[in-house]
Amino acid sequence: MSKEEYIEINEGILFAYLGGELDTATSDKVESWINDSEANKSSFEETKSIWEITGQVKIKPVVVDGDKAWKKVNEEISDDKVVKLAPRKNRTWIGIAAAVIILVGLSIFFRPGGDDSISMTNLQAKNELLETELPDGSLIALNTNSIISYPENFEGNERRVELKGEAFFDVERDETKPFIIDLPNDFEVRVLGTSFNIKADESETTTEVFVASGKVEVSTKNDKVYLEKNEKAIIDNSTGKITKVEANTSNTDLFWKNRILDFNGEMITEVCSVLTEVYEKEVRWECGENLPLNASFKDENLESILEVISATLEVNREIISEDGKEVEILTCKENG
Amino acid sequence: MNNIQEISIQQFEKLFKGHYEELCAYANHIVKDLEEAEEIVQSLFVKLWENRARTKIEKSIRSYLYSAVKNACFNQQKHLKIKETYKEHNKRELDSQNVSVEEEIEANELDVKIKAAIDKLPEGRKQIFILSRYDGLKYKEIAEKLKISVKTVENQMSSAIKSLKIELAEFVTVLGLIIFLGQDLF
Repeated sequence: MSKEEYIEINEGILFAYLGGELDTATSDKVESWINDSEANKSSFEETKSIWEITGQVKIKPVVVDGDKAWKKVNEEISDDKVVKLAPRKNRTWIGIAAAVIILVGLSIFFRPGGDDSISMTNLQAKNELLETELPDGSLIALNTNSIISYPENFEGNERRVELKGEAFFDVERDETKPFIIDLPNDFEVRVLGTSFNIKADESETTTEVFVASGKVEVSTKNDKVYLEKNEKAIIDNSTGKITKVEANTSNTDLFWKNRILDFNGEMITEVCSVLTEVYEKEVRWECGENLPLNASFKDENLESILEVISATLEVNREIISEDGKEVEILTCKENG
Repeated sequence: MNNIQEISIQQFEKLFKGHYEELCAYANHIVKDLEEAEEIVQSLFVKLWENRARTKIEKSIRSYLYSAVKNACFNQQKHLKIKETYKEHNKRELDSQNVSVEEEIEANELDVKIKAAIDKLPEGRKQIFILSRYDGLKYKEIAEKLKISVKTVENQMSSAIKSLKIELAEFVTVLGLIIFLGQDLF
């Protein structure tokens, strides 16, 4: 093989050759390489057979994004709210009444109501965030894999809802009717009117309440704290003990809802770990020296954030596959 | 899990993700348009969820899904022409009611093995290989699409081909036969 214009012949080049996408000069080089030795020839024949075999599939494999597709499907099917009637003693009458009304075609007048029948709405967010307004005008943003149950109307002297998972509440002020959130493990959050975030995943070891504005009371069977703006309660799910902390300003507590990321001179490795956490895809810095970053992103996807970062810090982006997962890597630009 | 009537959303998600790719490939095979194939499969699952209480699956869920995809594809009025082409094919199938869609699509041993071999590739590598071999994209186009260097595409292709050589060794060794007999062998 001539040494002066050396190109490395590998399977990838041979495949491109078979696909006819190489220019004449490179094709010539490939051909002379094939004829260079028996070993080269048989390597080429093997590659060619892979080319031929893979060309024989009846049904062509396709590249699709199952996660993205599921999001779309899930969005459509999560619109159907599950409305359950709470079990009650003498339901027969309502049942008969409903049947009669439906028979005469006036179902529109049927409202499950009255003192002894509570109609609960269970709203479940699976892969997409859901926002909803409660009967009292309070707003709720429900994070993925979370479920909230609330009555069709807040009767009596309190507004009680049940949450499993994570949600941000902006509660309409009504001092005559406290707003109460029942959490797993008999934890309870009680407020008059304020905005705050609750993270109560049963699979986690702690439950978190972060207050964005106003005052909130968090209680367990054996503990109770009051939280104010930018304060956070961390509750141990097994003991019910509450720890109150000042929330870190650069925390990612509300990212899932407001999609804002603010970096004020954080080191790039720190930035990568934040991105890894909030976008659930590994992002790695592999260009030596750790650099500080000043940037603010609102409602951007990972793709455009990485574009900005790679342009700002003048590095390249690479996507590699590791254990079947894609990893985003920021690497140094080659010189020349 | 043949009983779809009481399927939970988590199980349904698993079912979707577990079959989405192959069903899209199958729909794409019929309608020759990946975007439309994806829409067909997605709306099929939406309908399946909505009608789950009334849906009874006699055979395996997989062959049910394949049949449903096939029906949905043929119901697309846009594809009258394709329908014509496949009429013959359909008639043949009606003649042999015993052959399930599943059997039909799995009858080809080579197809199954090739797909399994491609499926074993790491996700990114698999994508690059499919874009190159089946979507007819040049390395340069793949590099642009995925925002990686042409060299990376080339290296990934090399690694993909190397693993395929191992996975498909039995077919590589009978290469002569395959070349001479072509598709008739299978």
